[in-house]
Amino acid sequence: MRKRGQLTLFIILGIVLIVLIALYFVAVKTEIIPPLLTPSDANSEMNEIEEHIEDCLKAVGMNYLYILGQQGGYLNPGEDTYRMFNDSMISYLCWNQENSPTCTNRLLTLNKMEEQLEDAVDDALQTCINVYDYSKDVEANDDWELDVTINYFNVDFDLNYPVSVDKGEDDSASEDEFGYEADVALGEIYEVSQDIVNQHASLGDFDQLLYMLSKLSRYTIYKNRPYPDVVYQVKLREKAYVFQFGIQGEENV
Amino acid sequence: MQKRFVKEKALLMIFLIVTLSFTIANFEEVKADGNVCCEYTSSGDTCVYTDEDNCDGGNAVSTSCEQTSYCEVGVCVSSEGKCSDGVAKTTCESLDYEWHEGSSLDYDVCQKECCVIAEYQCSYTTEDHCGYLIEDLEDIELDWRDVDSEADCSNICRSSDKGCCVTSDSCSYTTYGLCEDPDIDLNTGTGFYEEEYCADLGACACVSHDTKRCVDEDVYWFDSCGNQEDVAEDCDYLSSTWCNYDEEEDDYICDDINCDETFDGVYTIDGVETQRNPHDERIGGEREHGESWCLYESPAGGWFDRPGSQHYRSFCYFGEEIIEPCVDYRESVCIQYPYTTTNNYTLMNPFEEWGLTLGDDYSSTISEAGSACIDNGIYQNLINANVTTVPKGSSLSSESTDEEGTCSSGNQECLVTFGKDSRFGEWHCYDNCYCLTPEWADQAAGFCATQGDCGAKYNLAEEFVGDGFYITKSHGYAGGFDDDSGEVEHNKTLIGYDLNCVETWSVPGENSDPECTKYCKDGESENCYFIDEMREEVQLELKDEYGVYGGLVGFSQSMGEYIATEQSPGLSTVGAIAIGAGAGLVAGLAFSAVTATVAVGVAGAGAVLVGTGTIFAAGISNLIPYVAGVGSVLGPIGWVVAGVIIVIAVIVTLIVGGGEAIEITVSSHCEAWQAPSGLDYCELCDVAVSDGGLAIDNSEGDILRGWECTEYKCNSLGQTCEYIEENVGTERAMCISVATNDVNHPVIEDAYLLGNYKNLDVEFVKDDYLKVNEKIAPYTFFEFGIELDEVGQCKIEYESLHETYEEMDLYFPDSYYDYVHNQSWILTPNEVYNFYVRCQDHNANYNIDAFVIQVETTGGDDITPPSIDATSVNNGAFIASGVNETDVSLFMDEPANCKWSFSDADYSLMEYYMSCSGIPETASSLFENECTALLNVSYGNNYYFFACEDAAGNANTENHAFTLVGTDPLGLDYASPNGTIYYDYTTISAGTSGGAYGDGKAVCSYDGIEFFTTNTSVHSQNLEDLEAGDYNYNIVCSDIAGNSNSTEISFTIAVDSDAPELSGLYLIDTTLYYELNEDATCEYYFEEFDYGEGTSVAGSFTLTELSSYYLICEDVFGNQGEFEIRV
Repeated sequence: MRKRGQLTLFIILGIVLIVLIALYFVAVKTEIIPPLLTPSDANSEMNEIEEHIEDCLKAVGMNYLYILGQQGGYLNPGEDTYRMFNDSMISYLCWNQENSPTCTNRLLTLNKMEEQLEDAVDDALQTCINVYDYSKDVEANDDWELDVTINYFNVDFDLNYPVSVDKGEDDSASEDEFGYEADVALGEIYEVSQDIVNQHASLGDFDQLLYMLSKLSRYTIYKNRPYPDVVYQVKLREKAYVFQFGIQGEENV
Repeated sequence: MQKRFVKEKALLMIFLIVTLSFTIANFEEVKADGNVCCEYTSSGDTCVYTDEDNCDGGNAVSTSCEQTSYCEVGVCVSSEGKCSDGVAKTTCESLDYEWHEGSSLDYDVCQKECCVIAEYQCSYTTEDHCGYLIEDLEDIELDWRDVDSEADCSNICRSSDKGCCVTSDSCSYTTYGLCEDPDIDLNTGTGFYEEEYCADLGACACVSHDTKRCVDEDVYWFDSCGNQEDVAEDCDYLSSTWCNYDEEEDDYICDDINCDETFDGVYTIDGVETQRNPHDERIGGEREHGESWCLYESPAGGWFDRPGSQHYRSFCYFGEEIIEPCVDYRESVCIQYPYTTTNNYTLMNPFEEWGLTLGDDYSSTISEAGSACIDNGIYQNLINANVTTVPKGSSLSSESTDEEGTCSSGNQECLVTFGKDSRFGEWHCYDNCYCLTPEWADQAAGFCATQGDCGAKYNLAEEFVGDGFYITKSHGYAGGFDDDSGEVEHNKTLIGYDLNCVETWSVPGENSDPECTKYCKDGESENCYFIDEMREEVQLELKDEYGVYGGLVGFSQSMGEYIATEQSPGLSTVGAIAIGAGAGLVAGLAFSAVTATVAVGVAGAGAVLVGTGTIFAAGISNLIPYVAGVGSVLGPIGWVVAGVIIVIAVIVTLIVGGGEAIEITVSSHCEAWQAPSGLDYCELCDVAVSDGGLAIDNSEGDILRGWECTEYKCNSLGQTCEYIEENVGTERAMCISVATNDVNHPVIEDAYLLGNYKNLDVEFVKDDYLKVNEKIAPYTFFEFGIELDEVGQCKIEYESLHETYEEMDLYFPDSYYDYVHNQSWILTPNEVYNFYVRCQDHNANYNIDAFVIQVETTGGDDITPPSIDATSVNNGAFIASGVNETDVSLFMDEPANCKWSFSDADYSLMEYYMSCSGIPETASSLFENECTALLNVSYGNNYYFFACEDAAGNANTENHAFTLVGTDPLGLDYASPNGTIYYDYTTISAGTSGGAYGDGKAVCSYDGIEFFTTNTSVHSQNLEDLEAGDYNYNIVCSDIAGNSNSTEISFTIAVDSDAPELSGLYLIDTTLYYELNEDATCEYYFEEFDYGEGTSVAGSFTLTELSSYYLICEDVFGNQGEFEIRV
């Protein structure tokens, strides 16, 4: 008899426990009570936000770096300033001079490329960055500032974007600076492209093999001749990033 | 009165006419294509030759840019100290750089030496740029050293001593310059240990020789801390070895970077193998890294180059054979050196030519076997190193004609003289009979071929076309007379004829000797022209004679010999050069000289021959008076004898006299070569040589980098070949046939699945159907592709099929003309799909019976809810004041329906449905998973929650939180100036408040021009050098939310033109006080003076004993008032 009573008691206790657990989950779900375990704190949410922003910088930045390389340093080539080759608008970096083997240097500058990258990446970030998806307690000044610097061995994307997560009770985190360093030696490749352009501008041609050998095979340069132009594709020998540009030629037939 | 200065006016007019004539004559060529040289363009460029509509300010002159003053080319020195040659003036100055005439070689600031930074970085650059590089580096002084080459500069840093840099927490193998704290601290052990490896220092606790890695070309040891140690294997770049990871050995080794195998030069057209590169016995074999050589796709040099052919320079670079095409249309040619040991021709050292310095070791390696593409100077009249025997190509498009007369300059004429020496004599060819022989015709054809793509030639596909060369004659017959039967006897003029067969025939008559008609076209024995079959026969004999491969190789050899033995001033023409070249057909050039001789000969020798009988008769006529005279002296007997002699003489004259001659002009006609019109071989242009085409490959079908099917080559392969410009540089076909007699549609040779379903079981019947034998999941990407037997464009439909290709609406995503086309669709559940595909070629032939792709979908067992990938409006975006609602779109990763709510409720409880493209009821190739809702917005933060549910009923359990911020209106608190301003400068100011951020932050502009200071709450813009007059500006400000406000300001600049006037003058003791009617600065002096030379005063000055003082006052507009003050 005592055993039966004990069994009934355990059954009742079990049912009560199950009901309590169920009530807890319903209450948490309907936000009547806060969850016992806070799933995240301000720092972890801030880390997620940082990761998100840097992912955006990487995705958008690399995309425009690729386009910049494909189009000879110009993201939006103007009319009569490029030729189509390999489905890309290849910008001329040297204009044809009539009846002359030499050409006129268009003088593409690193500053010019940096400005274009800043404008394009800044615009694209507007639809990529969304810090509000990562925290309900986030505050951000969406008027960010982007700075792109083309270095010899890499490209820096620095975003000044004050973001803070404030959950109250001393649980807050903030970050102002986000960045991504693209492993693209655009500055170095730019120097090579300018060597090529300078040779064309002053001598009328460029010997890719001798140049590559003189640089101890650090670069690979491909030379194509879609008549009457010349299209160069320059890359570091052991890297995939390609910078291609055109030298405008003159039709003689 | 009216006649005054008449003479002077006349002289002036003459002068003007003469000078203006010269001026007009000296005008540069004005372009007629409507383009101008824009100094600035709307795309931000400078000095672009383009349509005038693209110009944006600055100058625009209808001529090429380098001929304008503003885009003159010179050297540009950047603010960083770098020099760029060939830069247009405006381009340079628009960047605030310095522009100079000439080249960088003319300026010391552009001379490069070695910039050494802290002994570890070396840059071959200018002194100013060196200064720029160290600008931000502390404690680094300018170290700019004289070196001979860039390599020498690099060596400075290579040889800088390295060692172990020990810090309190790490060890690193580096240079002294990079060691942060190089001084050795004996207590802590930190500092720089020169020429020591870290593993050798106990403080570092690193194990030596732990791993190997590559550092530049060599294999190095690394210790267990990751620091570089000594060389493990010394690779030698000069011996073509380089550090590389070897998978078999699982280690880093010195790897061979030579090319084991190269293009072997053998072409196989229609199954016939031909070695087109016998110029180099090493063709196809191993080549060293850095070695270059020439490749030809047809006989090269000696005027043998075929239409469509191009020269290539090939080289081996790090194990890869790379092609550098010489300029198409053979505007540049490839030469290879050394040619022979006895050859005197030397190519300029390319290192010197390009101003590169590689070091003796490298240059000697390169010069052992090298090549170059050089300008083809065949049409230069001077003998120089650039003259080659390679004819330049010409446009071979179907519309091309020889308008410039390039080919017709190869026309030749020859006067052939026929004659008979008596009335009853036979007609014979007396002079220039050589012009009737096949050899002459052959030489004339050869001369024609030297003019370019002219005359009779083979193309790259071994197809012969001879229409571009033929011979005509001015007369069919040489003279004739009636015989007793009344028939006229002629000598028939045959060309390309064996002279031994020349006979006299009656007309009409047939040549009974078959040997004598062998060169005549069938059925044309009456007009036996030299014919192309003959030429082809000769061409066939010569086809394998690759003569002077290498262009200058052969030329230089033969020219060298010729010049040595025959050098004369007369060699200064191309024609004379060809005599020297003397190879095969080239000898035809000699004909130009021969022709001249012949022409003279006809006039001289011909006259002698033709006149034989006449002279004889004339002699007898002249004899009669003498005979008569003799008869009269001898009496009656004498008269009889004389009479007999005269009768005999008359009879002899009648018999022997009556000689006759006729000149026949034989002309060779040289016209532009035309591509074959029957069979064409367009596709060979895109097919690898190893597959029977013309595209140079690595024998495995991989076309070498740099090789390209060109328009010139494509056009040479057939009249129906069409070059697809848009495919240039791609792997798609560039040369296709558009033969008008092509009535076959593109055949679908293959069809297959791609992506996730590529391994499904399928059933394929060529040009008929592709059936997928397994079901696929709905709402996933069903990807497939088709492959055609010719280049075509494809369309697709499902469910129903239009009758014709034109009526079908949906292209494959790649609307290019190509062999391969891929497609991707999203399909709905439980359906059987039939996709109908039609493809059309360039001749509009398409498959009337559509190709069918059949696939069936399952019911779907999707358990993953949709994911919202993006929103059309940024989360947290500001909404302008007064805007009460806005559209927001969601983009999901799969078809779904979505709802939204103001509260974070379960999907089923959400109140508002969104407008969705939803779950497609039918298959779609362009489906976009998008839902849109119109959200109410009020001032402040507005919170929304989104959730979606896919076709399988999977709904989001975690909602997508979204915020929009309603904002205050933007206030424009003030804007100035207004009214009258008495200066020529002012500042436009505006102040804003409220707006998106509540602090007035906004961007303001005046008449559409952004303020200099803006994007804040206070905005300003300085205006200077204003003209007098009224000014009205429209001030508009807007913030990030789109709130906007505007106002107008009006002000007048009243610039003063009146001098200051004295309005008051009084004396207190010895101080004179003056007052003016406006602000001004004044000077005084004791006698008359110019403003600027006096003593400055401000309202008063002290008097001395003088009685007169001079005062000059100037207002801000420069108006000066001068006063003499007498005390």
